Amino acid sequence: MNSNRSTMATNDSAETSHQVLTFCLGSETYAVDILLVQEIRGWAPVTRLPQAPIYMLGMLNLRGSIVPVIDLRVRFGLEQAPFTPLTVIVVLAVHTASGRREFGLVVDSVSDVVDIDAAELKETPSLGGKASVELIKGLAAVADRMLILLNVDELIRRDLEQAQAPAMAGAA
Amino acid sequence: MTLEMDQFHSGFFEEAFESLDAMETALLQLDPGAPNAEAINSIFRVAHSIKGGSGMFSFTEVASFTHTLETLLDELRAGRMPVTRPTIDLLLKSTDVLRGMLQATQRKSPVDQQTVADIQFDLEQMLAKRPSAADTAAVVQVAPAPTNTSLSSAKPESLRPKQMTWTIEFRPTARLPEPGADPSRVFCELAELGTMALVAHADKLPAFADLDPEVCYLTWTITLTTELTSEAIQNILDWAEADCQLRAEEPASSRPDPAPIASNPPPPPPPSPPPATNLTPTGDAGGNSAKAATADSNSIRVATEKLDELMNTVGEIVIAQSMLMQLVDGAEPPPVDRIRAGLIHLERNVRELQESVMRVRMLPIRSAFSRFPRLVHDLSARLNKQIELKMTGEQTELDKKVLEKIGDPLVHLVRNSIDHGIELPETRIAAGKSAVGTLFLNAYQLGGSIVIEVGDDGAGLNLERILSKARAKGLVGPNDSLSNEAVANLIFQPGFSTTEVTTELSGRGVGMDVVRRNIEELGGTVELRTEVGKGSSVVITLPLTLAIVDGLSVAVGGEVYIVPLVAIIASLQFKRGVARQLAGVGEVFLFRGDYIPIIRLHDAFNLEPRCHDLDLGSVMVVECDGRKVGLFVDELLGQQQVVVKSMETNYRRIEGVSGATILGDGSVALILDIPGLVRYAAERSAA
Amino acid sequence: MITDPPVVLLPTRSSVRECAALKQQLLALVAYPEAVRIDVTDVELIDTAALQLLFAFCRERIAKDLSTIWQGDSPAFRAAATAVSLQVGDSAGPSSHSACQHDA
Repeated sequence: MNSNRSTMATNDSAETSHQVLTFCLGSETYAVDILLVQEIRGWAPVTRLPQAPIYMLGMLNLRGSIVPVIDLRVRFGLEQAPFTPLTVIVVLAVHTASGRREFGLVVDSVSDVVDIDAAELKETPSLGGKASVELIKGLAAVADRMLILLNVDELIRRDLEQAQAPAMAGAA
Repeated sequence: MTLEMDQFHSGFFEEAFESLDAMETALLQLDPGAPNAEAINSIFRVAHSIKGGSGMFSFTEVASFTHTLETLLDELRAGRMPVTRPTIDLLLKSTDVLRGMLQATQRKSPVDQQTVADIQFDLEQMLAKRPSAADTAAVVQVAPAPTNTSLSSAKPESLRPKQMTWTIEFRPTARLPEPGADPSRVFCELAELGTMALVAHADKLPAFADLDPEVCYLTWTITLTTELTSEAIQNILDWAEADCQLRAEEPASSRPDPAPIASNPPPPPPPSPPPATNLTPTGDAGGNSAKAATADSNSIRVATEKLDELMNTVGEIVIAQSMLMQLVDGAEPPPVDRIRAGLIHLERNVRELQESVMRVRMLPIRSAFSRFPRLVHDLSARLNKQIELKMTGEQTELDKKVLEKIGDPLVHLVRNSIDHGIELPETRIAAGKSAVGTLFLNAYQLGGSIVIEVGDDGAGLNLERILSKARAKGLVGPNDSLSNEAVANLIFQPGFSTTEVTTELSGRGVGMDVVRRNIEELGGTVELRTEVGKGSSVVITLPLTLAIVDGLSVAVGGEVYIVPLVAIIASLQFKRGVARQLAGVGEVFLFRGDYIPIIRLHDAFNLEPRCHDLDLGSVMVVECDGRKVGLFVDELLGQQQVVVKSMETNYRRIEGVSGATILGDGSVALILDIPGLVRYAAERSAA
Repeated sequence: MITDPPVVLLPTRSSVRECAALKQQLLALVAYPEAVRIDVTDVELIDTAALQLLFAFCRERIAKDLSTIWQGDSPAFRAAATAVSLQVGDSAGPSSHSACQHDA
């Protein structure tokens, strides 16, 4: 169940309407800019990292590249779900100031691609507790659903890039 | 010229440029006091072979120049002429000229006749002054004065150097440097080239109260009459921190000799320039641009072993692919898992191919280092400093693209060390150091990075002054306390480096923020270490696109880790009771007479080990910086060569891990950072 | 009331490092109504930055119609000034005194 995208884009889209890939975490439906999605693949074993946060599952071999994988359920405060053959990893590729980064997000399942009008994006009310509000760009209503748009830049900044202060003094 | 001849030419040029580089290196190492006969011989052979080759291809200008060069070298190797410093300098200039001639010939563009003629004249002058048998102690000075020997009078008139008058508009751009690099030094050097007149202009001076003493508001017009070439003039001007406009005029025009102005009357108008062509020095006949050119060229030299490896991998791919085809073409539909296994095998081979090709792009850093002996030689002579250059690790390989971009930052750092780091001999002696300063360049691989160090044993930086300046600039809060490293690295701040560092290093302090930006664009980091009175070093860390490490794979808590072989001293099986607790340190054991600490890797990495008893697993003794540590693992798996993948490309640096690799089964294994773990052990016991 | 004109005694070494201090010293005197003397006897090292400063000082005083007198002899000073083509003294100035005159 692997599909590839060959085009990569920066996270900023100047168009008013853009397409997003929707996926499920628990009972919520999330969405991410389709241009950032490199591929969708099934679950594969990852290598754990020492002293990593609980949502950082480890490193995956993606055709020779070492790619970190984040458990998005855990990241958003939901209970960890067991990994089955139906579990899906959404691999994103993003151009950042520090270069091109690939990383994977473990989600429950992937839905469809929908169009979102940027003008219709609503602000995220403070959900008080569970979800990490900083990682959300906004909310969009499409048909009967409410889509929670993922803020990929913020996710990269917080979880993937080098922390600003090194963990230990004199970290080489 | 026909196409077939062209292909022979390229071989000749390639060899010639390489031989010239070797010649230059040999010349730089020649000691006039104790000249090495073999070195002189090899230099002679270079000239001889270039003469032969160029004659064969009818490159007559090159052949004729090289002939004169060869004659002089013959005298030197036969001992009929002494090897003196002026001789060596002239020979160095000749290699520059020859390189320029070969480049022009290669490009089929005209050779710079004037430059060639000038140096040729100097060579002949030197030959003419060869001492008689009785006069062995004479030191020969090259002077463009007419001599009475038949050699010079036989020279055709067209080659005799003419007197030219040059006008130079000199506008210092940087803040005024230390007395050693004062504009007046430039003027003195120019004056040595011929007859010089100097006119100062003070029109840009502001009101006294507004005057910034470190800014040079004065500009000068220099009028220089000399037989020497524009190149000789440009050589001197290149080192000055100034905008220089150089114009040539024929000496025929009678000009009033402008007297130096008194400080009182308004400055006289500069001599009106006759309609001479504006001479911007073209691609210099100097060698440094040529050296840079070869590094930037579109081709690359590859060691044949790398190509053999490529061939092997391609062979394996062919086999894997044909096996798959056989499976698919077979009578019954083959089981899916066998096809899958075949595809995995193929994928592995393709990955190996990819890595082999990347390895082809790796070149030794030697070519980036090669310009420095000459640079250090010239610059230290100019500044009257004695500097010894030590380079190590030139065989360390890095990607071609990175190699091309690392040159400029390294030049900046070397110049900084020479200009501001290393003190004048008198100062050094007064400080109890040897008169000769050391500049070192070091390159080595560390995990998935390459480390390049540029350092000196000079004056170091005054950290307190940097800190107080930073506080004054608001870069550091009044109550913030910074480690020494943090203070030193303040000079990389953009605003800071152009003003404050200029004061601290009393000079340019040029481009530290530019250096850092260049390195960061390559994905690397740069750090400054300094100690007042002892010296400074800049440490550049660059991610390697490809690194291979010989490692020992070990199992810990169900995960596989790789330990770099180079760090391992021994691996042991423990007996019961060998380990003991030491207060304040933790678990230790006796190894070759010392108690060394034990790190239980499963603890450090938060894993559940196969067993907790030390005698049921293995302990590997690793060493770093003289410190030893015992690593407790579940079991040793085997030795293998692994390709290091950087963690930072897609994630971040992790303590204790220096990279990752992909094992044969496709899984990811982490490579241990031994220096980090050793440090962790030390800090843990200190805590 | 100061009877002797103030003397700026240049130290053995005047370079860009000492310029900030020298400027302050001269700034205090740039508008001094009587003649200011600059004594170069002790000078062993002086660079372009210091020379520029002194030249600017002189020139400013000339503009205010005030005089500056150079005294003492230092070969190092003379050499340095000649090297950058700045000379002091020997030129008529706009006032009755030679604005910058050299007393050997």
